[in-house]
Amino acid sequence: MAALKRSKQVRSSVTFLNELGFSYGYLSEESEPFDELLVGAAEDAIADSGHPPPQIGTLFLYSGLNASATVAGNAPVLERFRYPVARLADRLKLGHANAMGMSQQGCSGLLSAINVAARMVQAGGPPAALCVAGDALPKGANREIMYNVMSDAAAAVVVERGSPRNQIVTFHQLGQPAYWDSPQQERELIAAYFPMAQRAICGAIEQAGLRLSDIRWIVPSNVSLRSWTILAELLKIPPARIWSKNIARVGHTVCCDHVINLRDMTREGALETGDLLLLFTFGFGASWTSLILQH
Amino acid sequence: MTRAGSLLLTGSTGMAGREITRVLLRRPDVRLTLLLHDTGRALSRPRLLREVFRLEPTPPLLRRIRLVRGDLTKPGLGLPRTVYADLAQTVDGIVHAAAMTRFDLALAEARRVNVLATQHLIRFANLCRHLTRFALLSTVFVSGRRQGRILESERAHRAGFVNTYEQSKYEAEACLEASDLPHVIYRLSTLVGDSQTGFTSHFTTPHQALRVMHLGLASLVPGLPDYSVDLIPTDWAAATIINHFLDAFQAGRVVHVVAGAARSYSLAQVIDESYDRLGELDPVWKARHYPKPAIATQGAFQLLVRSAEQARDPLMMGVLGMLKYFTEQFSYPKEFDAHGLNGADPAPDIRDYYGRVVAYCLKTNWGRRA
Repeated sequence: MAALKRSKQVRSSVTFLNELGFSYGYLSEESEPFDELLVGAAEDAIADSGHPPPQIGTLFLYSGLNASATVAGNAPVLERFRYPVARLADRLKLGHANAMGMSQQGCSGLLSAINVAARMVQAGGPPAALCVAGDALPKGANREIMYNVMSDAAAAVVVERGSPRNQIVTFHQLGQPAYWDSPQQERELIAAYFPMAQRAICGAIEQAGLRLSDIRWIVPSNVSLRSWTILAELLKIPPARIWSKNIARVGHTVCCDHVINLRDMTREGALETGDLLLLFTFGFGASWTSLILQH
Repeated sequence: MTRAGSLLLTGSTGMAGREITRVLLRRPDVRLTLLLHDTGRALSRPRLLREVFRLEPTPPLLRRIRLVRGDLTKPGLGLPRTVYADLAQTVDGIVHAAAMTRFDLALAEARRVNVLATQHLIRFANLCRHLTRFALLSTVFVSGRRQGRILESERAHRAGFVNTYEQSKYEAEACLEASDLPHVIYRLSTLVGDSQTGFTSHFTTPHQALRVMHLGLASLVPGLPDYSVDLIPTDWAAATIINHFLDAFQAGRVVHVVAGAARSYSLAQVIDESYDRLGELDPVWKARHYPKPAIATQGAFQLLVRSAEQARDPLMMGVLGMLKYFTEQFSYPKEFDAHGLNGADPAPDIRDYYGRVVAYCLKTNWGRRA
């Protein structure tokens, strides 16, 4: 945090950001193209799933940053047709897969992509789909957004039919497109965050026919620890049920928090077969999304 | 018994004082001296009647009203000695409605305006040879952090206070109780506007809370969902107080001027009704689908306030700061005993007029539009 403060990539004091729960932010190196992070995450996910590439019928690549802003206005027209998802499919030797880029749901995007992929896989055809996601902020960019410190990250998930773990119990998303103008509506978004979060989480629980007490872990997006403390109070759950260790050590990535957290929870032995997990996030655009999994 | 006479009224340009003035001037047997703050706009009597009290300045009305300018926080009420002495000779009733109703003042400042001014007025009242009655307008929230049934006969407690307004009014009551004056204390709940038109002269905390909702900036409201939010219409409160003061005065009484739980919304209902009424009256606002604020614990709310303060976010600090000085009350449920008004008309049910208050706020853009 101190280094980010010195480089003017966060505005608030280090003390305040520490108090919000942030200790580290991860910045992608210029020497390592961000694409390599995406490829690495995808290769690991494929290897971990045990599915040979031909069984992966769909490739989704999600980015939470507005893609239209990444191409300079005076760039040749063909630049606008240079597709990262095709390049990724090529690197992963997934030429047979239906490759599609996704964007514009902020931090909700990867959970939405997983939901869409699950429906596709369930409908028939190849048994698995690969969802890759990641974002890197421009060099030197401000990394403090609405009381949160942003890290660069990539993550990947293989969604498979009949998976023995992390089965989707329910997906519940509340959209509020009237909040589309994020820069102009920052205050309204801050105000709406908690009431909508409460509704999205309780709505998912109700949709799944569960009670909040049935949930073993809330798997958070790594927004400020303080915001999770407030949300825990609203939900009347003990803060210890929120697996919040990565807020300090990873920071908040645009859309990879849940996948990184699930991997680290697995590595630390925090998960047992049958555990019900509730993944929750807010995404600019705006949407409040809950995904309940059974481990 | 009906007994009026020459009354001195303080705080006549305040939210309660304006309505009380209107009610008093409807009674032909009342001669009224208004003690106005000397830093206020020096309006002539006709302009004051028209612009502040919404009354036509007819010659008979003008003959019954006298203006004096002073400062209650100063010895001698800040009046010229001759005026002070003259009033002491003629006044036979005092209604002390002046108060600083801001919740965020430092205690010393709240005491200066609410306690010291009351002490000065008591000193003056003791000199009034013909004084038969003295009324202090106070608040039911002198009960502070107490919970449960609050009797009119009770004042002293050690539960503490939510804000300096409550504490300073508690202390002002104690000053009056310690005097030998023939007095009544009227403890009001929260004035919200005219029951017939929704008009309000002052956009106070309930109106500002409504505005925060309209701006889409309402996030958390600390409290208990079933807390009874006691709101009363200004016209009813003024008429009730003056009828009691002039026609049913009993020295030494404390009177709760409240609607009661049966005629009030709960906290959750106030929020629901506010959103329903705003949605009906402002379709553009409705299309924005602003979520209702979540009812939260004090702990959660204080964390949010702290974040806004530490982030030095001026707008959110303004919004949350406005809420934090009074919403703590919503965590101390209480029911106000109201026997002192026995026989008086009960307050109108909030369900019958809240929509008019919301409409007035919208129509005037919370006082920003004439």
